[in-house]
Amino acid sequence: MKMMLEEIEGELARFIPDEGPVVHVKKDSLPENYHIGELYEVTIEDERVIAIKPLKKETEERLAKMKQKRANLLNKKR
Amino acid sequence: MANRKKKKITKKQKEQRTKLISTGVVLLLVFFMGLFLGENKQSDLSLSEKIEQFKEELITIFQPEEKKEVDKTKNQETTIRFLDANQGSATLIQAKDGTTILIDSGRYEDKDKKIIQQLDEYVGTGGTIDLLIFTHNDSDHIGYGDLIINYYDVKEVWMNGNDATSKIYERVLDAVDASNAVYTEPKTGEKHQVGPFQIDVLSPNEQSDNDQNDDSIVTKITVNQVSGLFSGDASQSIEKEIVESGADVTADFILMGHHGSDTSTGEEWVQASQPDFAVFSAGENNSYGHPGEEAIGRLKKLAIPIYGTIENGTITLTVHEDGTYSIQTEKGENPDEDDA
Repeated sequence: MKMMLEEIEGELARFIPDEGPVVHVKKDSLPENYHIGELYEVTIEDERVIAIKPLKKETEERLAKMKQKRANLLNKKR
Repeated sequence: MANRKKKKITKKQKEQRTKLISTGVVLLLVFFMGLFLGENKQSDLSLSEKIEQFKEELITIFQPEEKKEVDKTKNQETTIRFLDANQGSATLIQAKDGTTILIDSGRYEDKDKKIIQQLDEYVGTGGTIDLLIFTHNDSDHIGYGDLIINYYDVKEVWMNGNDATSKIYERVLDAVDASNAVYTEPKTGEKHQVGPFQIDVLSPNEQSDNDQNDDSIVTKITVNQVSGLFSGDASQSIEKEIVESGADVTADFILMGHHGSDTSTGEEWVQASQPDFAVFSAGENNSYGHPGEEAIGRLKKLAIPIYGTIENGTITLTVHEDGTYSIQTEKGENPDEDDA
């Protein structure tokens, strides 16, 4: 499931999936060189996190898309 | 189908019709004047004074509506509701003239869509929100932001310009695009007047911190000489930056940054703002341990009363026209009595 790593508070990392509720994961489970705001493919089985893989290309694509949407809003004449 | 011909009338008939209408108008005026003079309780007035008063009343009746509008920049009773948004944040500010500001829209995964219920109650279904400020783009601050923009008449939206990659954020951008709302990314030093509210933007700078929390839109909002600080999830380093910039951060109250986390509401911020009371918005049994003991301790050390949505539910601050204010809580005890 695709999720954005939104925040780390104390020992907990907060993931926001594309659909569904927040997923909390222990900070220790994060891959090395993790980045807040990055997209990850998070595999969960029986409520246990099996794997967390960064989706670097998709992160960049989404950021570019959001930037474009925001630019359109800023340039929009009302 | 038969053609209907307009009936022609002679010049004499026209004159008769005009006379008839004029007589009717005069009779109506005399009738209303009689009613007014008959009802007038101020018997000490002379007939000419009564006629003058009648003329004034007539003018008032036919005066265009806009002339009766309240001067929006003048003092007026205002309600500031720190909505119970569980482990999220949402503050609804409403002046008597109807000017409405919403700061953040709470969590996205609240199945009951409590924020919509609350807005329906206080703003009215489909009502106007003059300004919707999303302090930053975390999911506990922009939850159902898209629905709010779709359901209500949102005039202007402020966002911090730091892009997130979540679908929730994308839905909010799409909703703004589909609406008639003006989109703005305010920066440090800007001053805005929205109805009776003076809004000073204290952060972010043009230069992004590349950190969603630290790029929060921090504002000081003043109405009837009463000021509040709203700092989103900005950390102590940003608070310090603002204080060191020399900006006037004195305030009557503060909404504690980052749901009362230890990472915010630093000593410099509290010392510089000198609030009469503080509020935090956090949910019961939240996994983050909000509010933080240290942050609470920093306020308690200065005997500053603290209200929290955990214990108090929705906290309502009413700012009266004369600049005095009162606080009501949905539940729990009044900390003003316990901690002050």
